[in-house]
Amino acid sequence: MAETAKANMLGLGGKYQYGFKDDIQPILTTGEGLTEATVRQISAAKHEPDWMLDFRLKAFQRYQAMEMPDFGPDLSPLDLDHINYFRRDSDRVARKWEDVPEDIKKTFDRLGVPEAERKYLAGSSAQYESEVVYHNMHEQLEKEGIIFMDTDSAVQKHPELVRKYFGKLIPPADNKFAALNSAVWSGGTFIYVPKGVKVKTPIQSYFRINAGNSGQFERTLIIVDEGASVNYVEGCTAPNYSEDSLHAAVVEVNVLKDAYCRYTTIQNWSNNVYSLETKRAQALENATMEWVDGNLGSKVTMKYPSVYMNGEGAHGTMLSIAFAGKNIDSDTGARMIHNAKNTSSSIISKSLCKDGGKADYRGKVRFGPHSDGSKSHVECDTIIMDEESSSDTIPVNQVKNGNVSMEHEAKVSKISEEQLYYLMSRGIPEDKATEMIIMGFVEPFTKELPMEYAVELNRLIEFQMEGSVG
Amino acid sequence: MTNLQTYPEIANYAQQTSEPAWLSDLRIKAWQQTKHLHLPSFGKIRYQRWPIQLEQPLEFHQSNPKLLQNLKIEAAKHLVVQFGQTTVQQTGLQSLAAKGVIVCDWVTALREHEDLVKKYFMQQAIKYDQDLLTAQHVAKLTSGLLIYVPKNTVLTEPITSYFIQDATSKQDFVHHVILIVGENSEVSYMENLMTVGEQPTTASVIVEVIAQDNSHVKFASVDRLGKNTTTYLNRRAHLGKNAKIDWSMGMMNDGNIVGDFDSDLVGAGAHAETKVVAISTGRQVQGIDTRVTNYGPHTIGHILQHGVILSRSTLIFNGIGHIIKGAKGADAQQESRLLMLSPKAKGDANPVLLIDDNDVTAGHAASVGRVNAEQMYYLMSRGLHKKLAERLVIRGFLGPVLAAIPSDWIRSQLKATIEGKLIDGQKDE
Repeated sequence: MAETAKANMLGLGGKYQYGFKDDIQPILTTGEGLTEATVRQISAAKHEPDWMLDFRLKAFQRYQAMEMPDFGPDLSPLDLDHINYFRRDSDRVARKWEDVPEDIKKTFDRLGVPEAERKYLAGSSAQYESEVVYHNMHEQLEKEGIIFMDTDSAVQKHPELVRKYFGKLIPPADNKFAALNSAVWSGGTFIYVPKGVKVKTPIQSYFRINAGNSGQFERTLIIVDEGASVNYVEGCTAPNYSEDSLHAAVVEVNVLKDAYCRYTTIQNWSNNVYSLETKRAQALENATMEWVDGNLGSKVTMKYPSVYMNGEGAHGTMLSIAFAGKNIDSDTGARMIHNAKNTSSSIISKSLCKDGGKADYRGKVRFGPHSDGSKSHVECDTIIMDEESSSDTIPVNQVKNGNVSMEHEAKVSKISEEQLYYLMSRGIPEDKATEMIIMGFVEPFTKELPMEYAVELNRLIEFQMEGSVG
Repeated sequence: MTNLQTYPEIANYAQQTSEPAWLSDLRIKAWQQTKHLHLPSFGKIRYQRWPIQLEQPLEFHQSNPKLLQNLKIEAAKHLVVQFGQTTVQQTGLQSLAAKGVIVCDWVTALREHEDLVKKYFMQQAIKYDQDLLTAQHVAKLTSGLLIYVPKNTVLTEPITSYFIQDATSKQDFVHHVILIVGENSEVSYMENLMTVGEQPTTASVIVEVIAQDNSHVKFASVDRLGKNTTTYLNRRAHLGKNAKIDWSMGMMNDGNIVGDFDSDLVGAGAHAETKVVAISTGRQVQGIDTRVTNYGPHTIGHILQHGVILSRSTLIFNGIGHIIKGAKGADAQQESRLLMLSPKAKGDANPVLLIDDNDVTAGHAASVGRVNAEQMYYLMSRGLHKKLAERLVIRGFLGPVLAAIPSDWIRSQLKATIEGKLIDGQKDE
C-alpha cells in the first residue's frame, strides 16, 4: 500500500475513469489507517506551509493521547484503523460547472445542485470525497471582496486570515474527533465577508461521502466581519454502502461585532455513516449567530453546535430537527454559552423517532459569571412514533450569575390521538393524517429553509414516513 | 460465615448492642464491598471531594439529652425523639400498638422485630451494595427507626419524628428509617432532621419506604442539619400496585448536602408526587437529585422542585423521569424552578427525561430567574419595603411544600426557619 501511495504522490498512480457513475478511481489516496507519515503525506500533497504541518502534527499527537467520548452512542463498532483518511478525485478545482468531471457532475445533477444554483445561489462549492471539485462564485460577490473558496486554497491564498482564526474556536484538544480532523482535515469551505457587506442570497455547498471506508474531514472556517451578514447553506446526502464510514467535520464561525450569520445544514447520509462533528461559533458585541440544523440520516450522529456569546448583547439561536429511523442513533443538541452582559439565546429542538430509532437531545445552557442580564429560552419536543423507538432528553443548565433568566421546556409523546381522530373523522386516511401531523410538527423548522430545501426536506420526510402505518 | 475476629470493630459493636449475627455478617459483606464500589454519580453535582465518606469507627455513643433543652420540639400525638444513638422520648405509641402499628427505634426493632428488619433492610428499595455510600452506610449504621403499618389500617394522626444529630463530639451520624405500609393502609409521617453541636461531621441518612398495593403514604420532612455537617441523604420508595406516595421535603440545611430522592413505581397504577423546596445560603452547596422510574403500566410520576439561592451559595436540581419499556400509559412530568437572590449565587436545573416506551406522556420545565418584578412592584406599591416584599414573594414560591406539611405547628416552625434563612441571606447582598 505504501508503494502505491508513493506512486500516487508522484502522479504515477490512478487516473480518471469516466463512464461509470459513482465509481470514480481516486488519483491519490493514503490508504487505510493513520500514522504520522500519513499526516505528513497529506500536508505535502497540498504543498502546505510549515505552520499548518506543525498544527497537524501536534493535533495528531493529541488525537493519539485522547479518549473516546464517555457519553452518548456506542462508538465501539467504529474501526479507526480501517478508514481511508485522504483521497483526491480531481486534481483541479473547477471554476465552471461545465468543467466538472462528467460522472461526478451526474451525481450532483441528481441532487439538484445546478438548479439550486440557477435559481437561488450566489456561489456554489461542492465537495466530492476530500476536496472541492467544483467552485463557482458570482462576479458581484467577488467585486464586494467576499472570499468564498475551499479551505485548502484559502491556506495558500489568504494565509494571514486563515492563520488568525484557524483552530482558535475549536482547538485540537477540544475532543478526540476535533483532534483527528485537525490532523487530517481536507477540503471544506472558507468564507470571509468584509466589513459592512451584506450577502443577500444564500451561499451553498454540497457535501457527499461516496466510497465505503472513506473518511471525510472537512474543515470550514467562516469570518463575518463587523456589520456584515451572510447566510450559508450546507446539504448532505449519500448513497448506501455496507461498510462503516466516518465523517468528522470541524466548523468554526466567527461573527464579529454587529454582524449576522445563519448556518443551515441538512444532513442525510446513508445509515452506515458515523457523523461526529464539532461545530462552534462565537458571536461578539451585538452579533447574531443562527444555526439551522436538520439531521435525517447517519447510523450515529453526535453533534452539538454551539454559540459562545463573547460580546455584550450577542445573540445565539438553534433551530433543529432530528428524524431517527431504523438503526439510527441520533444524539444531538445545542450549547449556548453566555459569557457577556445582556446576551440572549434560544433553542428549539424537534425530534422524531420510528422503526427502532433513537433520537436523543443533549444540550447545554451556561451562564458565566459575567453574563449579567442575559436570557435563554429552550424548547424540546419529541414524538416517539412506535413501540420500538426511544428518546432521551438530557439538558444541562448551569447558572453562575444571579441576574439572568432561563426557561426550559420539553415534551415527549406519541402521535396525538386526538389530532388523528379529528383528521380521520374528516375522511383523511390514517397514513395521510399521520403525515400531516408530522409535517405540522416540523413546520417551524422547514419554514426557515430556502424554498428548494424545504421542498426536498418535505419529500425526504414523506419518504421516511412510507409504510409507517399499518 | 465470615470470621468476626478479623473485624474487631464490628465484633465489639455487636457485643455491646447485642445485634443479631446476620446483621454483623451483612456489615462485613458491605465493608468488603467498599473496596470495589465507587461513589455514585449524580449528574453535575460534584461532591466527590467532600468529606462525605464515613471515616469514624463504628462505636456505641450515649448522648446527653440535657443538650436538647433549648430545642423546640412539637408536642405531637405520636412522637419519637432521638439524639444521636439515644432515644430521648417516645410518646403516644401504645395507642398505635393497639392497632398493630409498630414504631420503635433501631435497637428495639432488631430485638423485637428482627424478621421485619431482615426482610426489608437494604433489600428491596435500596440494595446494600448499590454503591460505596450505601455499603458504608450498612457497615457503620448505629441508629434508626422502624415503622410498620399493617394492612387495612388508616391512621388519622401523623407520626412525628425528630432525629437530632449529636455533633458535640466527632462522630458520624448514620441513621436509617424503614417505613412499611401494608395493603390498603394510609399513613402520614413527619420527619425532622437537626443538628446540635458544631463539630465538623459526616451524616449518612437513608429512608426506605415500602408502600404495598393500594396504600397511601404522605411523607413530609424538614431538614435543618448544621453548618459543619456534610450529608448524604437518600430517601427511596418502592411502590406496589396503585400505591401512592406524596413526598414533601423542605431542604433548609446549612451545610453541604447531596439529596438523592427516588421513587420506583413498580406496580401498575402506582403514583408518586415529589415536592422539594430548598434554600441555600452562605457558601453552602446543596445538590438534589430527584428521580422517578416508571416500571409499571399507567404509573404516574410528578416532580416539582422550587429553590432559592442566596449569597454565594449553590443549589443544583437534577430531575430524572425514566419510563421503562412496557410502562404503557405512563406519565412523567417535572418542573424545576430556581430563584437567584444574589449576583454571586450559582444554580443548575437539569431536567432529564429517559423514555423507552412510546405510549406515554412526558414533559419537563425548568427555569432560573430573579424574583418576579411585577409581584414586587405590586407589594412595594402597597408600602411594603423591598426586603419584606421579597420574602413574601419567596414564601409564595415555596408554598407547594409548606401547604403539604401535616402539622400547623411544624409549618409555622418551617416558616420561621425560612424567614430566618432569608433575612440572613439578605444581609449579605
